[in-house]
Amino acid sequence: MDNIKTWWQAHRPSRRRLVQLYAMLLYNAHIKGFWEGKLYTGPLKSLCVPGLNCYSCPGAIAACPLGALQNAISASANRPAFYVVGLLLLFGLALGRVICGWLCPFGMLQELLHRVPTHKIQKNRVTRGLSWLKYFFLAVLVVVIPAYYAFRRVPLPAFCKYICPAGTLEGAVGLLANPANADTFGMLGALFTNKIVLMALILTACVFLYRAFCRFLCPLGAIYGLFARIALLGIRVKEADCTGCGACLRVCPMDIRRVGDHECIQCGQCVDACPEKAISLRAGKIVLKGPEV
Amino acid sequence: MRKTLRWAMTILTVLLCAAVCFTILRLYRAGFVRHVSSGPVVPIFTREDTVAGLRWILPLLVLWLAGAVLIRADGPHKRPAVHPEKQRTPAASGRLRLSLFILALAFVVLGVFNGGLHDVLVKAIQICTECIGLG
Repeated sequence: MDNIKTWWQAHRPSRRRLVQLYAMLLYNAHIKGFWEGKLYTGPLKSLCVPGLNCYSCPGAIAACPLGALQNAISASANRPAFYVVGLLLLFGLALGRVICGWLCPFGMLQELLHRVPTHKIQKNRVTRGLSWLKYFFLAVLVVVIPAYYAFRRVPLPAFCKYICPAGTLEGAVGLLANPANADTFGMLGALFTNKIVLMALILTACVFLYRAFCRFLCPLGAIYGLFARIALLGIRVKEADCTGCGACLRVCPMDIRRVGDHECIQCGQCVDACPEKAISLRAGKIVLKGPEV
Repeated sequence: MRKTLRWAMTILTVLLCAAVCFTILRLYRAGFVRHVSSGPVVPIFTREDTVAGLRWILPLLVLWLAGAVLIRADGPHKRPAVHPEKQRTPAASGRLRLSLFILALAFVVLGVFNGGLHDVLVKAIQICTECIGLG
């Protein structure tokens, strides 16, 4: 009994983990889809969830913002992508990268994988440099390539097609695991093979590197990172109380230069680590975590 | 003991990844040869072959999962020392945030009326063949 208690205390989920879990369950609430191997086709699918959750997942009840953005850009020769851009603006302004730290199912998966007790690769100058790669992916795979092909009238969501491991895991594996979709196997080829191998490599990298996909590859994190300074919800530092000890930077697993910058996923680990209680997670003036005003 | 277990899990993780990649590539190669020699009607992947091919990975996966769950996770890792500097949060411009918020709402409303919402719905209710690797 004591062993179970000790195990539970070591593995007990934090509040943030519970919020991530609820978000994942909410985004994939169409349980029937997993059983039948079919997608949800209701009106909620016209909305986007804030986190990365493939809309080809049998359980997904809403659309993926990244996939929707690419498709909207691909169709921009017909009509401008107002709706999806507007939604992303709303999410970014309200929540910023709080979405990454608290509301993204794929982020949660990466954190769980990182808990596997192996040797870990710590952040360093190389990982800091690699963290700019996601902006390249955002610019090229999410914007430029779909836009280029939009004017050729050929929709090409390049990031979804060539890279996205969430699509491979939730969409491909989620659908193909169901015997009802056995016919689909006949249509698989080189692209599927590449995506599965890439997914396996990314998930393995996440075991050794904290949130490897988030830090280096995720264009959605890159978009939300642009709102770091102006998001309503986020980490705030009381400059008067800060002594510059660096405890927050040391405890942070992301490649931040400064607490709350574009790399910060607003997880709140620095709030607990700050000896001067200068850091808090706030929604405007409301303190969600940290010292009271 | 802890160090040994950590090394074991590291090696097991790498092995598991290698096993999955190797199996998928082997299945693809075998299927492709069959597809080329017997004609385009013969699929590269079949459910039976895939399940049979992945079956040998199952014990490795179970072992890995058991290790992941049962071995106690390490505490916070020692991170490199950094050059400490005073942290600050640049003052957010309330006016900018409000303007962007109004713009975002306007975009959403415009998008609803110009058919953007309908486009998202139409795309999301169908299987995204690009996402799942069908191309």
